[in-house]
Amino acid sequence: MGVLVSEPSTEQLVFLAIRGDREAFGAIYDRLAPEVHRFLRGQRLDLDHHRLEDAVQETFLRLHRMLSSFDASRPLKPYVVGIARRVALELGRRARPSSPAGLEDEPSRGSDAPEEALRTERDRLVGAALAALEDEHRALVVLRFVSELTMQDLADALSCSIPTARARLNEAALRFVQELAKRGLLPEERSP
Amino acid sequence: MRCDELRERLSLAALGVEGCAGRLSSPPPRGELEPGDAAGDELRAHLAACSSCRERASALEQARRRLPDVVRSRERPLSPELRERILAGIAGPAVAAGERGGAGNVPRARWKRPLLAAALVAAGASLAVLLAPTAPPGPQAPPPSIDPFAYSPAPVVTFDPGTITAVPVAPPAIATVSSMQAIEAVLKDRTGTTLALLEILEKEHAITAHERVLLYRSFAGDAAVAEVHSLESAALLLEKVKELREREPQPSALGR
Repeated sequence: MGVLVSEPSTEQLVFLAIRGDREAFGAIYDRLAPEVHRFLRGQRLDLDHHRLEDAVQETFLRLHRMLSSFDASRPLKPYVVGIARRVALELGRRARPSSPAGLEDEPSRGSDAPEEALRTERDRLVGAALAALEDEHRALVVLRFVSELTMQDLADALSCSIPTARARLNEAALRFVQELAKRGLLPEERSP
Repeated sequence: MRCDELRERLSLAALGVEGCAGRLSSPPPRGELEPGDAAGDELRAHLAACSSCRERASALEQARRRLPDVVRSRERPLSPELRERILAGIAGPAVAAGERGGAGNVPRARWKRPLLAAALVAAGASLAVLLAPTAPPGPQAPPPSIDPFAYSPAPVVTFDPGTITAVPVAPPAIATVSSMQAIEAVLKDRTGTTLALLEILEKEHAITAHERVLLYRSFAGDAAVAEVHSLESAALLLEKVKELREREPQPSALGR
């Protein structure tokens, strides 16, 4: 019969990492890198893989520098994606993504099956609508709908109150709806 | 109720944003409560009677559901070398933001540097004025020679659950270059700015643990402070320190 060894909690890993335990920080990376990667991919659909990895690296280096300020009783994921958001916004300020136009022009890669082709085309347009948003709005949409942060986590990631987070998310979501409509993904509005 | 009057709420509900109160059919994102309310009932009643809004809600729900897959479809696995690179870059214990030189590869925009430098000089002057100890009466000793470029090691501040120990240091007469660099590094990141600034002020300007706790409490419920740019946060922070020191004496147990 094997010995059951429970995995260390994130709080324990943070505690060890602050004291210089690299493997503990490696374990934090293993737990959170996919989330950070996914957020950054959603936020910057235009980045190539290498630049995206650079952004992931920058996020975790900053996390390490800020770890001693982190309240370990709080969940780490919103804190880390909050850092990733800052990294992504800085990247966005330095170079505007070519993505909106690029994604619009990108040819569909659907199969011959009509249903599959339709789905692929719809996904491409959803991606283009996301890419067309302003950086801040896109970050909110991705944090909520791709990273699936709760409103509390979203408020933590943005360092603001829940009502403020909700108001900002509402604004971003309505912009996203407009972009979806522009691409014909919503039915035509009829007169009341 | 008319479609155009409900359109915004309908859109938010279909996307699952509006507190899920008006959620229409699919389950809410993880961790959300779903209170039943009159607004949701109103939306659902309208949808039952309006095919146009039903189609719109359905299209929005579909777009939201597809979004994670749209992003995932563009993902490639992170390389194992990335993990090694990161771990190689963090040798040593984690320290408060700014104590180590930036290993980051996202440099600040060049146009900001002169502005930031000027702002930092102003902030440094404010720090010196607000935090410098009052000179005692009587004959004055010659001022100590301070090398503004010297790095003075920060005091040891340890944290264990339930225990905060701050080893006191004498407050510096002026803001040193090392503290300016530390604050500058913190300014690069809005996330955790307030906490990180508190760490720096505690270490380099002899803010006591007691003051830190009071400051943190005063900031904890103030979202505006966390959201404003860190220079303004720093200014507010210093105002608070000044108020605290005028208002109450330092407790000896946590004193510097």
